[in-house]
Amino acid sequence: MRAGGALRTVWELIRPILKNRKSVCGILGLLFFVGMATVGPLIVPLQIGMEFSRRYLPPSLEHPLGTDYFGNDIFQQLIHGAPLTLGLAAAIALFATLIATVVGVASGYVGGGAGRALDFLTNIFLTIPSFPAMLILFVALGETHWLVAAAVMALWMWAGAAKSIKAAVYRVRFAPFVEAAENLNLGTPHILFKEIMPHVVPYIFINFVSSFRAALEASVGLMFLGALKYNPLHWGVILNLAIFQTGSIYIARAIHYPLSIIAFVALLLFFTTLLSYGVEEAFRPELRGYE
Amino acid sequence: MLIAYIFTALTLVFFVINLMPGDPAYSLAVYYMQTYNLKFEQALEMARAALGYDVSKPVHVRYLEYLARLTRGELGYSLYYRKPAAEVIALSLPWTLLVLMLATILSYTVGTRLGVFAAFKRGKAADSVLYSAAIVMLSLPPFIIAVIVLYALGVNLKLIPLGGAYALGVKPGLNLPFLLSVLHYATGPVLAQALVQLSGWLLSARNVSVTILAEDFVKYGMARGLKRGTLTKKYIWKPARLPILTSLALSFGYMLGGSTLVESVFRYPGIGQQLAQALGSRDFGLAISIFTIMVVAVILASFLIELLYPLLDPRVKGA
Repeated sequence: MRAGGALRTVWELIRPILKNRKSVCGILGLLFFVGMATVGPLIVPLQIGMEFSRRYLPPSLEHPLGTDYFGNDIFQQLIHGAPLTLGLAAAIALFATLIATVVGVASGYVGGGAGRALDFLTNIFLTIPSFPAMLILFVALGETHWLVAAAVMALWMWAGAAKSIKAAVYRVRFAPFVEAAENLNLGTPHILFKEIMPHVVPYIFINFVSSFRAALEASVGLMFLGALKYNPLHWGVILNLAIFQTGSIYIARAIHYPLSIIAFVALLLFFTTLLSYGVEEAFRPELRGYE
Repeated sequence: MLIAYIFTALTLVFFVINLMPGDPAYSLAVYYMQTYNLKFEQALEMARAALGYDVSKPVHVRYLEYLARLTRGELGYSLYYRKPAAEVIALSLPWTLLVLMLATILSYTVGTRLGVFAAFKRGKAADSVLYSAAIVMLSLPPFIIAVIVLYALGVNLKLIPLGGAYALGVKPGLNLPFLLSVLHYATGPVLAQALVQLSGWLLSARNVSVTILAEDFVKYGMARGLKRGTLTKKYIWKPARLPILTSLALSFGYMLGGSTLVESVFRYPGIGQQLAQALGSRDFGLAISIFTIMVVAVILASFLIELLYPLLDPRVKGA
């Protein structure tokens, strides 16, 4: 590859994404959340206490989203929980994509008996309902480091991505240029990384984005159910507090509390979904006709 | 093949539970020690009995014991209810199956029809509205929809009950008030599960139909002046439903996994809520039994759907 080739490859990855309406909307929306997670905590200080006289105050200038059961500002909590919520999901997605890439490339490139065994394993993981599996593991594991939690979750979220990456490898596996490289005896590392991988990278990226979406849904869901409480500010945990612990959804004057958290979770998931659809359309032109 | 599948999946379940770092019985033992005021050794023995295995035995012995128990049809033992887990599950499983069945029928019939309709109206306002609504719906996980439905229909409009599977006054059995009450109480969970799936069916039916609509045989049919109903039924529906059918099994698995959250929000007494409660009270015997049932159910469902294939696609019959 020539000098500047890497830069060009990156640009070739980004350009189609910026041309797609859905992914641009998704990126703009997500930028808000990323800003909230990075700059937000620096601007807005977090004050947590217990002042029951301030319980369930409606939204006002002082408290943009009102206060919760303990009289704490809801918006502050959302801001300070954002880095964890996004960070955990990103870590899960990273681990899951890593496993998926290794399994997908291996089963697509090697083929034969080993490939079939990997396919079988992938299908099994795809069938087993992942949410209950993660739930049981978390409760059994108890308190863990958040990266360990991410790895445990990733273990149940790679199968779909592995299938799609395998398909991408398979599409170029027997292409004339790969055959030529094989006949020239260029060696497996060259064939894998210089010939096949450039065609697979977009698919790895597509799957990373959709894994991120799935990871958000699963991690918020797990915390929402109260399975893992390593940090009281994760959006799933504050949603758990709002719905299951304090029952604010049944109290008319407290309804701003669960609904504002729901709105933030829903918006975050909406923009991630939009990005994931957009990225998939950008790299798979055959889908564009369906817009 | 089916046996191999279930066997491998359950083996995986076993090893995941057994290869967890540390001894899962330990944390459970500490819990028992504190709750029931026991000595640690006693609590540990109890915890090991509850989990169905003894860490002091080698893994392969435990594995064989696990398989032997499963082939005898024995699941775990629920310490919370103090009876075999199978008895507890038998009471809650029907509710979950009812909700999933209704949600599947509702989402599949409505979603696919809307999808074919949208494909016919491609590029027009009706299509854009349906498409955008489907994307928004699809971005929301069932538990978020569950909370919104619970608030809007349950708390605010008081149209659906806030918990339970049927009204207190009615007598369970084959009578109309009971059946109506069951449907009324299932509305919330069914809606929460169905709305996401419906959007999925809508999008995939639309995509498949758009491709088929561009085929020559459809254009020829249109040119002959066939009605849209005939065209849909005879030309589009037959090839379109096959790729869609494959997702049915995945959709079932996703809903079954999500039932833990949806049923907890609606306090609906299915196995999902049962699983959440079992984990809340550290009743691992029951939790793992429920998980085993879920795994077997999903695999059985996907094989049943595969059996349906030759009925719908004559080309598969010979193969």
